[in-house]
Amino acid sequence: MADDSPTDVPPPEPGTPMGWQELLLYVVVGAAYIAIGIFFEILLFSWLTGTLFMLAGVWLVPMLVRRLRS
Amino acid sequence: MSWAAHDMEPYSIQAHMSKRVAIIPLLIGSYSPDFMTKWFVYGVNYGPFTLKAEDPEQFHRGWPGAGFTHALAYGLLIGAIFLLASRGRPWGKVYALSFVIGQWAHCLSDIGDTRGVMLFFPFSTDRVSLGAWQYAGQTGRYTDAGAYFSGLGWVWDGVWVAYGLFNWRVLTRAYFHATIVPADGLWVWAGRYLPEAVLLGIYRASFFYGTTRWIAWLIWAHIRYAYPFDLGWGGPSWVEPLLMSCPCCGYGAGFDTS
Repeated sequence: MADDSPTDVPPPEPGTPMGWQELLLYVVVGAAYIAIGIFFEILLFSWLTGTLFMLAGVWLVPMLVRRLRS
Repeated sequence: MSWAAHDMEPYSIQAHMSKRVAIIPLLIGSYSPDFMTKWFVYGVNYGPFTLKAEDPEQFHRGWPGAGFTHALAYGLLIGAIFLLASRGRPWGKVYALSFVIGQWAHCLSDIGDTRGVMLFFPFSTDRVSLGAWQYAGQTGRYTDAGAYFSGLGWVWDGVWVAYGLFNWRVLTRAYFHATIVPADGLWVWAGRYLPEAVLLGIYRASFFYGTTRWIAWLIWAHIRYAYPFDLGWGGPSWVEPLLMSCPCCGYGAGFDTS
């Protein structure tokens, strides 16, 4: 019997920014993180906070915008 | 201690070792020496209570203390636990090797500061140190940030940021699918619950955190505040000399060994 368990993660959702668009998104979110972090240093101390900030910027907000538009 | 090197080194190691390592244990290994101790080195406040090591430097790097986490043998011990826990399954070898390499990278990076690490503990409690930049953990996290980003420490981190950017291909979606996911089944398992963009974000998180934090602290230290640069060996010299606890007289009767 063939093993049909997945060997890769799911493909990107439709409308996910790719290539240069994706890079630009990370750069913008990174610049925002730096700008806010300089004045609210607490943001810079925790890996978890940094990761949640990044995920909000590169995934959550774009996904919500896509859903609102559709 | 380093502020961005421990985030960045695993990606460069990943670029060289490809599927022979897995990024998650590599990163855990890289963070592990400070994982449970850093908060107690800097101290935390809970209302009127402050929890902080009586001698932060001794606690962080010494023995008695948690300095054993910065020894090469500690990496081997945790690696052996991964091997035993895996009971011969293939992921055990990859996880053990990745953890050891990550933890060793952390230890070797921390040799750069003036306090160094007990690299060969438990065989020796002697510190191995290059003394390139001043250890300032005992001054609290803000002064530590100002000191680190004023001496050669930030240059060392900058080398890893630059080398990480040079290896930018490890951050691409294609590399993630072709190399990162096949090396570690945890990604496939997580893919049942999380979308691809989140998994990719988690994979890139430490790179993002290390790079942005390196830039932010540099601006914080020299534009928002005016910590003076001192790129001489062992600088910055303005960090107050570290008073070591004397083994004969006890804590507080210290002597300057810097």
